[in-house]
Amino acid sequence: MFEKCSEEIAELAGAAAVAACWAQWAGLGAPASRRTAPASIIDVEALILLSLRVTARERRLQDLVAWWARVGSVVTSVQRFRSVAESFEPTAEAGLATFATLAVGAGDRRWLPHVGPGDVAPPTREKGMDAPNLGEPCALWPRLRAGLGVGAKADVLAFLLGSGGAWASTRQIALALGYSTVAVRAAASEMALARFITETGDRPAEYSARAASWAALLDLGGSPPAAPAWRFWADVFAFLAGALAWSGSVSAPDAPGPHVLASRARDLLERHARAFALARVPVPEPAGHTGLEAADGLLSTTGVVAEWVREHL
Amino acid sequence: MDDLDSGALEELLAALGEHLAAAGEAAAIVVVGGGALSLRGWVDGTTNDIDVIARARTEDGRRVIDPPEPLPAGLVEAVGRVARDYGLASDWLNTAVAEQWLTGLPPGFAEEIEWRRFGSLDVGFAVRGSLVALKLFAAVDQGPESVHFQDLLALDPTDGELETAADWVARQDPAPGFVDLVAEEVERVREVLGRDR
Repeated sequence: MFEKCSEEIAELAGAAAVAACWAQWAGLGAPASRRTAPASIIDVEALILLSLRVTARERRLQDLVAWWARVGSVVTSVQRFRSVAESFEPTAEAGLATFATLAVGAGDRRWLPHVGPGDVAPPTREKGMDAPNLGEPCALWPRLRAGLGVGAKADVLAFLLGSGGAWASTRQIALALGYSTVAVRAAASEMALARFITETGDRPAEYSARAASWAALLDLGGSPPAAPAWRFWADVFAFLAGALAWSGSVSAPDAPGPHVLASRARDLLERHARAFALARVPVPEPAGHTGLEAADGLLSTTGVVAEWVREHL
Repeated sequence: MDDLDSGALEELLAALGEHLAAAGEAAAIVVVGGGALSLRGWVDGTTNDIDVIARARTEDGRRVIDPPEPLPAGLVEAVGRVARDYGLASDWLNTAVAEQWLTGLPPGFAEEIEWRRFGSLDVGFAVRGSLVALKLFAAVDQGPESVHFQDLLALDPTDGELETAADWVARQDPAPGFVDLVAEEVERVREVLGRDR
């Protein structure tokens, strides 16, 4: 019933995902990537997970993930990877195990508890530079981690800088980063104490960073100096991965009936609705498509998201 | 989606059956009321809910019915999903008629159920005689302006069906005068249907 619809979704989501991966890997100085660096902040964990999701379509992305495991795993957060991976169902565990295996193979033992059952062999050839290029503004997030340490503080700062000095609540920051509100509150309040960021006296507290000052300090360029924009890539990429998974489930031998497929399409639309609203992705309202029409809703939403990805990388 | 016609009801039950199958579960329920009449093609109108009067299980190869509450957890979950997916009230499939078990079901109710399969959901329909009896009871309770009276007219019951139904309804309430109310309602039905004495 949804074969044509699912083919279109796979094409739209797959093309957008591959283009986004290449662009973001280019922004990190990945080998064999000649594209222009993107203008928004790269989300490393989401990039790895999306790359692994689309390797069937673009096999070379697996090499870039392996390269990053070798040169960039130290600025990749195990905790956040696990958190973001949960929204990449049903491939979450496989994605985590694959990257963990590669990272451990490259010598980063933080990933050892997440290594898979040995079904993924590290690449035999080591291609690319021995260190990532964190000089591009889009690499701000891993750069902050390299400078401040991998943890919630660097991540909160990256989000606030990418928000251009706007005020954000603990919940908004937690949603953007995939952390708990407790972890974000602890990190943000200590950073406010250190006057790295500013805290409102209101409850619930909101936080902001002096974006222009930080941008000048970090030599991010622009006039006035500005950090690249935060684009909620974890949610957007998880949506693309989910759309691809949904599309695959339509043609699976054990595919459920059309009502279940449509219901799962609605799950996907509702799961990401809040992030789309925060990121101002102009997607249609999920409630606008009842019953079996949810598959059409997923198709139209995927089209909007794919276009938005191209315009906002 | 408030006005559910027979096509919409079929779709909703099919959705329930699919969700149960996807969860590896199965359920069997017996439905009455306007939804049942519509699904059987006995009335053309619409309804906003489906009344579940019983659950069913298989015992020694035969169907046995029980009071509907509690509905199986898997079915409750599927009902919630379908409500969300179709923009329905959460109680679009409900057990409000369960209290009928306190005074008893129409005679032969359990033996004469006709079954249809919707994926992993078996739906039992009471036969005409039982539905006429239940509708007459509801019409006596809520009066000639109610949807139940209209459903009763749409069923176009024979005099024999009305007589059997009236016998059962009269025994549902021991209150003085109730028997007369039942007789009045039967006469009103016959009059509207143009039946002569």
